[in-house]
Amino acid sequence: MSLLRLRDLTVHSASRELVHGVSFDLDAGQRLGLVGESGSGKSLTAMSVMGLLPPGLSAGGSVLLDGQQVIGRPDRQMVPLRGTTAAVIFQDPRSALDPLMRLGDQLAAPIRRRAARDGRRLTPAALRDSQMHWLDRVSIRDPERILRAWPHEVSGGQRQRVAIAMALACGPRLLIADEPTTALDVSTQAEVLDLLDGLVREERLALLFISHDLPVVSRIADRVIVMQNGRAVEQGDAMQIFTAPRHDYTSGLVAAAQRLQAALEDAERRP
Amino acid sequence: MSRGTLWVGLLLVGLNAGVALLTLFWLPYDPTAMAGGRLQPPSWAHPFGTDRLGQDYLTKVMIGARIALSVGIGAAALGGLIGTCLGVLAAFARRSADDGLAATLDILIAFPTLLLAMLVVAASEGASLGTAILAIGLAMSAIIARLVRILTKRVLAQDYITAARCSGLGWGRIVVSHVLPNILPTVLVAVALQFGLAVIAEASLSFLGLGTPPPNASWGQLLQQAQSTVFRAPMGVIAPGLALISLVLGINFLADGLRDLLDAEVDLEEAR
Repeated sequence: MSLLRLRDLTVHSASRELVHGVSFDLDAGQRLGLVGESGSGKSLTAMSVMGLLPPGLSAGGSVLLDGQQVIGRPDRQMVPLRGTTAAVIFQDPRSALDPLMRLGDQLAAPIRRRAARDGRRLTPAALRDSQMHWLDRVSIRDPERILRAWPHEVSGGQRQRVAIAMALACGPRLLIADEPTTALDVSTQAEVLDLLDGLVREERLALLFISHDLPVVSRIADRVIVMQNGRAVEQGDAMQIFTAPRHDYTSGLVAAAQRLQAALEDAERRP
Repeated sequence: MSRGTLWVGLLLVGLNAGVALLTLFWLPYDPTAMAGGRLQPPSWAHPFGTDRLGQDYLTKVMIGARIALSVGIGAAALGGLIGTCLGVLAAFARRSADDGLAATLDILIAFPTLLLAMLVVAASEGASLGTAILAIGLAMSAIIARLVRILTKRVLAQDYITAARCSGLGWGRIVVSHVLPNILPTVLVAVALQFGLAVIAEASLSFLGLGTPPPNASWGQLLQQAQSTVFRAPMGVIAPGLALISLVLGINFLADGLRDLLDAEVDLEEAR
């Protein structure tokens, strides 16, 4: 039984269909990348897994999360699955963190919920240890300051690290990362990618990585699904997609990425 | 914008609040006894003179401060509480229920506060402090509810709410820990502005005889009684009028200052 099994997932608004039949399986320890331009339906696919589509949209087909059908499940019954089975990291950590809550308090929430779920009593000291543990796991250098800080007082990279810590503190088995590095500058991007790579391996998580950036995806994912206009146009091994794309759209993406790479190298060679 | 308005507002409201608190323990004269001749001009014994029953006018104006503030605070608390609850509920409600509630609120807002107050008074045993608070609070709750509904919808559309839902938080917890703290600053300023309007509404109600019954006369009632003798004893109009202006102005300054303070924080945050 797969951790996540999508069969013929469709997403539609009142007037038209936005995602046309996406199917894949994802197991513990596997990393799947969803690539495509904006509007290709990759984020909608991911949010269908959480049962959190924007208002006015509905999903059809079948999404089995840990063997439980998500499509058509009442929101109230989705709440226990969220965070515990699957957690999400968002594109912009600036808007994904409550601006009026200290980072320490935001990180405490998933830790408390996990303790309550396991029926453990959480002493203030244990809570603090746990906060420190997770900040250490995401390689934050001055955890004391971060715990007391407001979201606007820390850098984008640190915010994203805190968001990752919050997602992992729930104890999920599937991590959905929706463009987690897009809002960061290039050097921070690489750091956060390496961090995610290590965490997913050590915690033995399944990873669903969404990005429009093919090189980034091929770096972190083993398997890639390329999406265009709500359809999965190509699906396969990350190396193969990058080196020998079969579909025109994928070759276009790869060629564009290579042109950009070449231009960058060219610019570097010239003083 | 300097902090000046905030301090002037604090001073004016503090003065009125101080006088109102003082009346609970001490009054210059018994408000129901004759303290001197009728319609006396101001003197050392009676700084605001006396009214046509020979009662000390300063005592009456001081009691008026207490009435004005109790109605203001009561109505603000009632309106703020009901308004916030209704607004949050409307933001969460199904489309049809939301539309219905929004239409009801619009009708309530279009309804003059005084008419609503007359309805409440007619439906109850007669005018009292309670009916004034209820009537003004109800009228106020509609305005607050409409604001809270919009604010809540705006907060609910934010990514951090989706993030909180993704991490498995139920709606109840999301409202308490994310929605309310984020709408509170704006609601607080709105309630403070409504507070000033509530004080004026109370004065109008008692001017029409729908406020608190004597001897706990409010400023509106004093103004109404002094109407017929305004040329023989102008202090009868000037004193409660000035008191009313000082409180309402103070509250509005306070609200403005508060808004500038909160806006400044928001600006600072967005600048980073």
